[in-house]
Amino acid sequence: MSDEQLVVLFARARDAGDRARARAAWELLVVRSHDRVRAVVKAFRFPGHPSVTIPRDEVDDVTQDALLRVLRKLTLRGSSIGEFRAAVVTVARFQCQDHCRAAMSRDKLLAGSIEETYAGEEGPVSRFDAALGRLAGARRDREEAARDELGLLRDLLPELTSDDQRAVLRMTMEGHSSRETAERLGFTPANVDQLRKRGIDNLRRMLGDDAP
Amino acid sequence: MTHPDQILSEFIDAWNAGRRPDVDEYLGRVPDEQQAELAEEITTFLAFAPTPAYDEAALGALRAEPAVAAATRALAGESSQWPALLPRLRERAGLSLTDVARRVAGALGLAGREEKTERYLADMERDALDPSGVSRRVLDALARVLGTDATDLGSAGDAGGWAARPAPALLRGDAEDLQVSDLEALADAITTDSPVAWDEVDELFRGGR
Repeated sequence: MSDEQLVVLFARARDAGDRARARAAWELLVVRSHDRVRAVVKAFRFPGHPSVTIPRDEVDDVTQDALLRVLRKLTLRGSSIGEFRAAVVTVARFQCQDHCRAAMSRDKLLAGSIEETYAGEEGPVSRFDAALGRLAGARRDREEAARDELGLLRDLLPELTSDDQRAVLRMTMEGHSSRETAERLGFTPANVDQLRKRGIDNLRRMLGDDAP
Repeated sequence: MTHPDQILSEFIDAWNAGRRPDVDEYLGRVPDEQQAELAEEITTFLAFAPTPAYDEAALGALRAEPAVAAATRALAGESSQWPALLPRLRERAGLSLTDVARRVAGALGLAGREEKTERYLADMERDALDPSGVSRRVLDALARVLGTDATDLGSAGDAGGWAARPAPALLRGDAEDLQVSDLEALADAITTDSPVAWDEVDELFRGGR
């Protein structure tokens, strides 16, 4: 069963109150999402302070908290898989941000500064989330697009001005290796590496993330 | 030295092939000043990356991951996520339950009633308290002490228990109009502690949001 089918199954079972089916779908989604979440946790840099990361002995805990938060936060009615994956990454980044904020507050307290109240407002980690929200909201109006497996990415790819970047990223997101992509499109492997990086950097800018 | 473009591409290939690449291994291959950029690129890729076709060995390893087990347990029973979440937040904050109770009681103006506050907090951790009864004031105070978000804490209490709690019955019309659900609600009321006997602590932890 594909991730897209699992997302739809979970949402339908949850809406119908069918806990057994929803539980089975959720378990599979968690297994399949674990490494994505864990990688985001490890890659996390606190906005504006790239030296602030998740301590390695806390990665497993934060990963667990992020997966639990995904369960709490996601409303999956009408969601496509593209939205689910991007939402998982956004939730994981929120969790990392909260974790770092809490640690900073504790450090300040231990240092003897005035006790600060942690507001915990769930503002966007970056405009990444705001952009996702806009795109997801717009796409929910288009039922025929809701099931597109690439979902959000499909909305963004046409915005890339380079045909080569679009072609390379499309193949990348379909799971092709750089070698397969190079052979299929007639590029050198180094070209593919470069186009992947530039395409991803452009996607970041479109999502509103500022390059470091 | 491997070009950073190639390192990102190698991570992508390893991910797509289901080899479960370790982010740290790839970040360690670029100079420190380039790590933040590579980390962001990996994160952007992960927002769109396909889920690999993991083989059986990989799926077995994933199922054995502690985070996976905890997340699947959260939906397995009727419980809220508080038993999974609260003790860990408290441990991370370096606080005993007594410490938390003292701070929460202080924030709520419950001086002298720390012990009762602690009993309720223990009930929350053991999933022995109806989450819907815990007031927003308690959630706000507890969230501040534990360094988390109050709304998220409230959602964690609601998550997992999907059965809608029965709405209070409204008695109207004649006795013949009473429905079975109304009679059940009356029976519940008879067997439930009367709110009249509650003090402020009871009200905060059981009186609802």
